[in-house]
Amino acid sequence: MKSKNVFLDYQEIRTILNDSPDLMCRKMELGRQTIQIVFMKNLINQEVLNEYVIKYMQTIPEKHLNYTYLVNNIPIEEIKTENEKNEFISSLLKGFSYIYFLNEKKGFMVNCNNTLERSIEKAETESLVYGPKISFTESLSSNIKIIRQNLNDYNLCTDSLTIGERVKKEVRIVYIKDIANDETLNNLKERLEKIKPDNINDSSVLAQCLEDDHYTFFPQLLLTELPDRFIYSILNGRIGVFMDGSPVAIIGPANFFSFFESTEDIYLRWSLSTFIRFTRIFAMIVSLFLTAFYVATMTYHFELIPSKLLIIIGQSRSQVPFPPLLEALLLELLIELLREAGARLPSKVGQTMGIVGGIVVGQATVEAGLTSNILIIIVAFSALGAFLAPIYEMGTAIRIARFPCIILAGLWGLNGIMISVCILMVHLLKLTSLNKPYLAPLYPFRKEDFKYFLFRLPHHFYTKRPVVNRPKDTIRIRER
Amino acid sequence: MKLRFFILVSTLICTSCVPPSKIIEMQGISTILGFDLLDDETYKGTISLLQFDRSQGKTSTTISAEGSTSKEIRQRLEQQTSHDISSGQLRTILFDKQIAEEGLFSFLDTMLRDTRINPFIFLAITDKSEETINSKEYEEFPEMGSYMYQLLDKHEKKEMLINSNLHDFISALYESGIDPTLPIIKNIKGEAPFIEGVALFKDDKMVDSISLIKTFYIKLFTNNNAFLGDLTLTIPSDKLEKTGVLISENAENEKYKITLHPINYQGEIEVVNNEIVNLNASISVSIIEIQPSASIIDKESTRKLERLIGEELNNEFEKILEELKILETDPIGIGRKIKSLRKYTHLSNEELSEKYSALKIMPNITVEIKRPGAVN
Repeated sequence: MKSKNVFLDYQEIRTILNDSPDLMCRKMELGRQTIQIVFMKNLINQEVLNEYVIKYMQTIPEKHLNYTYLVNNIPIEEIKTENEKNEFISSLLKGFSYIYFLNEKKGFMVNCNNTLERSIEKAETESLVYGPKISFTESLSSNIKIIRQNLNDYNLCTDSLTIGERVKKEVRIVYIKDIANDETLNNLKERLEKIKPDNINDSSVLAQCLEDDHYTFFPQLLLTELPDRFIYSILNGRIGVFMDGSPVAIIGPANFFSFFESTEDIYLRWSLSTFIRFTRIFAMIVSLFLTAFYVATMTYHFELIPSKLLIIIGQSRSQVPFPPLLEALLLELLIELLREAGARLPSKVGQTMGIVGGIVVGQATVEAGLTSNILIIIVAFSALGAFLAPIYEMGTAIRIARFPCIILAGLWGLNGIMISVCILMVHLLKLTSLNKPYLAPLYPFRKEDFKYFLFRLPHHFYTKRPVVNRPKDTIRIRER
Repeated sequence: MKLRFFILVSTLICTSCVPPSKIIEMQGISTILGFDLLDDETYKGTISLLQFDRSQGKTSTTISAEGSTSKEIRQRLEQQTSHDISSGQLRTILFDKQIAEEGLFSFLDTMLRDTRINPFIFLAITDKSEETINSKEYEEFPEMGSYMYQLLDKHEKKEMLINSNLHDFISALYESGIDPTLPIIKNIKGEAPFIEGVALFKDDKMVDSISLIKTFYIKLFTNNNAFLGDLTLTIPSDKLEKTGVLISENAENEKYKITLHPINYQGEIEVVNNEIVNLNASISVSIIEIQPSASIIDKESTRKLERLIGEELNNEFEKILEELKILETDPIGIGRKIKSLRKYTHLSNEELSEKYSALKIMPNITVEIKRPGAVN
């Protein structure tokens, strides 16, 4: 295919870029040739331009000073010509310098960009006790570098796509060709191509656009900033997506239980990780239903409370002026306020916040007789439970899903809780993540995958990749 | 789909399809209930309610009311409290002896029909239930209801009691050929109420009582998994010598006291013919205590001791059986066994009890000493 290259001169570029003060043009007269070097002042690495472009051109013999020779010989890794005006301009804005030969009316671009990036740091939102502490950064190229470094496999594919109508961002689909399921991959690519916003701020926004169900509480794609989690998932047949400018990678397809696993589960011994995983799932259930259960028993089913506990609970409730439902909602709201305040404040103030909120307000509400101290314990316990989910998004989902449960419990007691369990189960069963069932391996029932998602066994049991991801190469450890 | 869901929810909410709320501090939660007979027609009901006010030192309040039916009593009790009296935590119902002698059925029937009352609620007989409930002695438990429940529950699980809950009582009552039993609670001033014995019933009327120890023999044949409880026998030393179990070193008129701990047992009612019923039971025991100390080592004397103990048990059981026959009560369920045989299925309850009084019942308990001299 032959396409026409675009060659613009300085004046034309200037008009397109609305006379930007950053746009610079260095005019050089070398022998018979007049050369314009056009670049954006702040976006390029001046050293590169000086050393490898200007100096180089000054030193080579005059007869070589032409388009064809320079395109082939200039000592810069990446040079290109563009076919479209828009692309041309956006390359310039990415930090390319444009070398234009006035006599020949031809030019090409050399990469001398200088992007700002954070150094690689410890992960913030997902912290580990054991295992690599490195986390992704905002730079796509360093993220790919990290992955390549740790996953040295020639089948590792990083397909590139550009998303965004106005602000173009590079998106990379990362997978291992002979493991990842084609159907899922095509599905993901299709969805990515369908997204046409003018700008996507972050990969978490991209993840929301990619989800199967946009209305549910529950996240359907994993967001992680940990390379080891990313690599582990990819090796198990999942597909990852990076977006330029975002330190968070998207992993799909995900199922409900994968939001409760942390890579630390692999690093710790199997017995402990199994225990921790059960604890997390238990904490999730507690977090969802404990307050609701309190409301239900206090309002309708005091028969269920053991008689010794009954007196304690009854005594703590006796001064409370509100019905249990209102009492619970008030306290839950209080906890949410504290949590939100703590999350947005600088860490030093945040600590004081926690103390003021937790101890002073909690103590005072009990002493004022606004809530029972049993409820304080329960609400604190369930707030804690939501934090146990290793993926922050799932924690927030549980936080929100709790409220309908409490209200239903207040309306219909245990029947209400049962109704909310049913609605929740039906909802989770209906959800899919990249067209793969969300509640797998429970439904569809995949016994062999339990060791991946529900508990953990010693490592020699993991001879096959999880079936729910439908990997092409199912075998992990080949038996000799 | 969403519309349908919306309609479903609104039908539930808009039609007030909501359970009546029973907020915990509004409830007068009763834990124990007692009935006393005042005169022919009136009963007095006493109820202990949990009391949640922290400023008052006590954890329960007791209120009483008179009335001719249990529901009328309840109605009058409601007049005395701002709380809504509820029976969801009711664990024990006490009756005084007069009511028990008149018959409990009319009371229990209405209890059983009340869905809020657990069928596994305990029943017990006491001298005066009002006093028992009002007693301030309940060990470390917060109030009388919990104490009484723990007392009966422990005894049912651990040792002496034959099942004594509402369900068991009613099922024994309705079944032909077996009579129910209930524990008797004794209340002495300054002491926590305790279990004194077991009341025997003919139909729903209390006829007599036996001691807790004697329920051993009943449990042998009624419950295969009961915890029998230890058994202490007194055997004169010369009897032991005569049979050659051991040679007493001390004075002649001494008595040996042997405590046996049953390990395992199996009881069976064997209907031999029209007149004779054998009560066969084999118990394997370990001897946990002998006073004064004596050691039985060789197998020979162990066998002899086994026979001796068996005899003792049979003698005592025979006496109990005689008593039961005179009282025309059948807690063991011999009638039930007879009726279960094909040729006797046509027997009515009256015929069955006639047959029971005419029967010759032969106890036949064999004992096997598994561990002589075992220490707990």
